[in-house]
Amino acid sequence: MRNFAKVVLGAFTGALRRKANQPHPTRGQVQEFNKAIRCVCSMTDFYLMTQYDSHTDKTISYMQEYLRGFHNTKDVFLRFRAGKGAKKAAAEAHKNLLREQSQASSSNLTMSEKAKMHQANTLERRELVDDILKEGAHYNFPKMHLISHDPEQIPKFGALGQFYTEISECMYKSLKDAYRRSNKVNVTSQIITNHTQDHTFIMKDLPIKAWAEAKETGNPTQHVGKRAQVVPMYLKLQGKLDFGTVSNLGDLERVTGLCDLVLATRTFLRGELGYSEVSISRVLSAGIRAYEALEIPVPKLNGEGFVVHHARCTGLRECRRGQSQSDWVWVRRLQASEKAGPTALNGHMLARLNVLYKLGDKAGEIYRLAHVTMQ
Amino acid sequence: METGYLIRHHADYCAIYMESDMSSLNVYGLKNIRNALWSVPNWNPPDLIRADILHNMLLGVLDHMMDWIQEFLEQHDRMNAFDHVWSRLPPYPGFTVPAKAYRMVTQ
Repeated sequence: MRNFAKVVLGAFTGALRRKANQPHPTRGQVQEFNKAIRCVCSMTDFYLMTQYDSHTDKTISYMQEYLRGFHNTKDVFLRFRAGKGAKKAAAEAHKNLLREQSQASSSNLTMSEKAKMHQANTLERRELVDDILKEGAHYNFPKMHLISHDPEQIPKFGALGQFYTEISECMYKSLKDAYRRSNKVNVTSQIITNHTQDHTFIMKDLPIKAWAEAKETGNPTQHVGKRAQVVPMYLKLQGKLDFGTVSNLGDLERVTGLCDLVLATRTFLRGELGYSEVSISRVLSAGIRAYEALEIPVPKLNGEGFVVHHARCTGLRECRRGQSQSDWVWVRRLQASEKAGPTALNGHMLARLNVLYKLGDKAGEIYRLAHVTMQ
Repeated sequence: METGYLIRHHADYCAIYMESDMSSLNVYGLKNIRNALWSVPNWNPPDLIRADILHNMLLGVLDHMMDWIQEFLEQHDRMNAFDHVWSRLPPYPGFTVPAKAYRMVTQ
């Protein structure tokens, strides 16, 4: 439920993109699309900002900016705010106009004139329907008014997360579960018994867990009052493929279906690291380890710890929903430039991650390499 | 607070309600209801209500917006494209991928 607001803008914009199998949008349509995208963008941005845990004057002014953006562009959706009566009237008027238009004689016209007239008629019908739908429609409903007070409430009462009723509504869950387990006849007493039992068990579990922890560590409260340790940030390879199936680059080529893996590795060793043929074959004969995922710790915004992101490449193996997965990654191809603007790619390129592997040298040097496909 | 969009203050409401006759209330988008809280001094009714994100945003405004989006896409014949994108969203931390196309989800 919370998820959808994060992605609806992307999906909406994606759906309005030009596609080969769809008719080219007219200029008016393109304008309407842009306006609709800006409208949805403002509203979702506003929603995401209401969830912020902390605010400054700047973020509150952003919220007002987004709300203003929504109010400036909302008329693009106005025709869908029409009530049932207006919709019925519009359908009726559309039918009448269509009948009138089809009765008008068009027998002595040329083909091009007919086409022009058809176009004009369609436009006329659309305008009529739009007018009727928009006439009684408005955005004057209570919830729309209530959100206009959100930005001014934050400085008075604090971040809005504390008034989030989803937390308290979660408490209904155990009662609903108890209802589902009952036989739906004499419900109340069954819910009370069942829910009380569940609750008691959970409460009994807690001290047992605490005792177990105390037995292991000797002190149940040792983590209280201590700062979390600063963990050094490093990338980590994960999901090692079985050494029996993949022990050299040829195996990996076969498993992943990449035909230029050996060639690309040789080119890299020769070109970038300046290896001779002898040392290349020595490195390649030492065997490899292949991996399916790269753990990337991303620092949290509040500076406490990291969120671990995974860049996955499953090769030909099926992963999620029966599809193989090869994630998008940024690859740096050029040196970063100081002059580049904030939105420029600045030497980065998008690529698909194909495979991750580790080359070991007997001399003690280890290379962690990734094979990517540039898009 | 300078906002740019219209924040209707209850004092304005009260003034308009007192001055105008019943038929012209509609021009201002007001209903013919006398608010009991107007008679209490030093008082701001909007402060009584706390913003409830779940019912006001998620189940209110955003829910309406999804309806508009759906009708908008149907009007321009893009609903299938939307479903297609919706069912193919990539996963990332903190985001669970929807398993179905948008129109298949019922609540």
